[in-house]
Amino acid sequence: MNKTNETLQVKANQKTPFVDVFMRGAVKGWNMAIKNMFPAVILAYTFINVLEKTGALEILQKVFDPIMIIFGMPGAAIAVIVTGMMTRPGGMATALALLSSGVLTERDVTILVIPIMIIGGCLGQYVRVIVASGAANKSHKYILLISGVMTFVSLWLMNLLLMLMGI
Amino acid sequence: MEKELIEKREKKPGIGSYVALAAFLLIFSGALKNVPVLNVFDIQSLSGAFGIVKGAEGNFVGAGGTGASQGFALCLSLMPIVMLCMGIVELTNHYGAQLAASQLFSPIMKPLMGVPGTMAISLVSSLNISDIGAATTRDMFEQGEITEDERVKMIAFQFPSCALINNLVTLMGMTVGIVYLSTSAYLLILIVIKFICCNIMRLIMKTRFYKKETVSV
Repeated sequence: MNKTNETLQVKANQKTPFVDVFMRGAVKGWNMAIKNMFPAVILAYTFINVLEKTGALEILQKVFDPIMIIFGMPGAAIAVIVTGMMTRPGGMATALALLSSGVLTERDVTILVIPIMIIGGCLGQYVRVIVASGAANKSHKYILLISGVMTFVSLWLMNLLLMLMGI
Repeated sequence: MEKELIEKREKKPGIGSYVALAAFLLIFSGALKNVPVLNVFDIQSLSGAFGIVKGAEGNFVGAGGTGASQGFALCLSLMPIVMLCMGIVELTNHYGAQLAASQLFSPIMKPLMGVPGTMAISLVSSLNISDIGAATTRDMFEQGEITEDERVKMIAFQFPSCALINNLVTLMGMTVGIVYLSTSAYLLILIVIKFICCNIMRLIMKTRFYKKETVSV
């Protein structure tokens, strides 16, 4: 009787690796969405809502337009980068909210993916990557500086790339 | 998990690993859209679409929402795509796409980054989870396999856009049909940017200014 139970148990545990692995990945996706994406997107959309209703978004645009024009972006794009520095899905959500308000175009959003990815979540990732690796203290500021500068340079590079592609 | 990765280094990628890597890149690249039978495997086709609500013009997300509620509805509509994408990433990694990628990276790591090719698996795994990349880099330094300078160069590669694939997949899920470039195109651009950042760090490290700086403990 015990032997039959054991055999049944062994057979029940032999699932196909393909299904197993896919489901494990899907659960990871679920966790990422629930713990990372949802809170960040709610934060970003609320933030943009507040900015729009108080008129602060217009002020932001007027202040940053002359600066962001160097990179070919409307001034409101700075809100995307700032939100993106805290959380990447939040930065993307800000971009999407501004897209649906008509402040950004689809081309702008295509370009903004890159700076969001580069500097995104840097406040958290600084500890998780740079400090955790134990890299020399004197190198930290350079790595952060390079990433920061690259964030803005990439705006210009992406603009160039899209122009070369004819978009 | 770091031990698993270091053991992975000893495995040789077979043809299956390269097939997995190619499948991963093709699925996310949008290149399969026009291929006769395989177009079902393009990520947009696999993601599908929500049905139209009866008596309405669109799906359950609706139109004209604002604020936190709109954000929530958007996320809800994205969850299936994110889950699917992470499932594909996990599958291709299981079948050895990481191994194949690290074999492709290891010969170019010395000239392009100044880091030994044995770090390739750490580099490739840092594209998935940032903590793993940092932890394996630290382990390899402590085991004496890389120098301090090489560790800094490695981190200068890993930090900009860390955990590339996982985060890119989330962002791409959010922008399906809006952005003009495919996921694989962004992947390529970001890897190039990471190499550029690493090399800028290499240049800085060669200056006397950097070398003279001492760590104040």
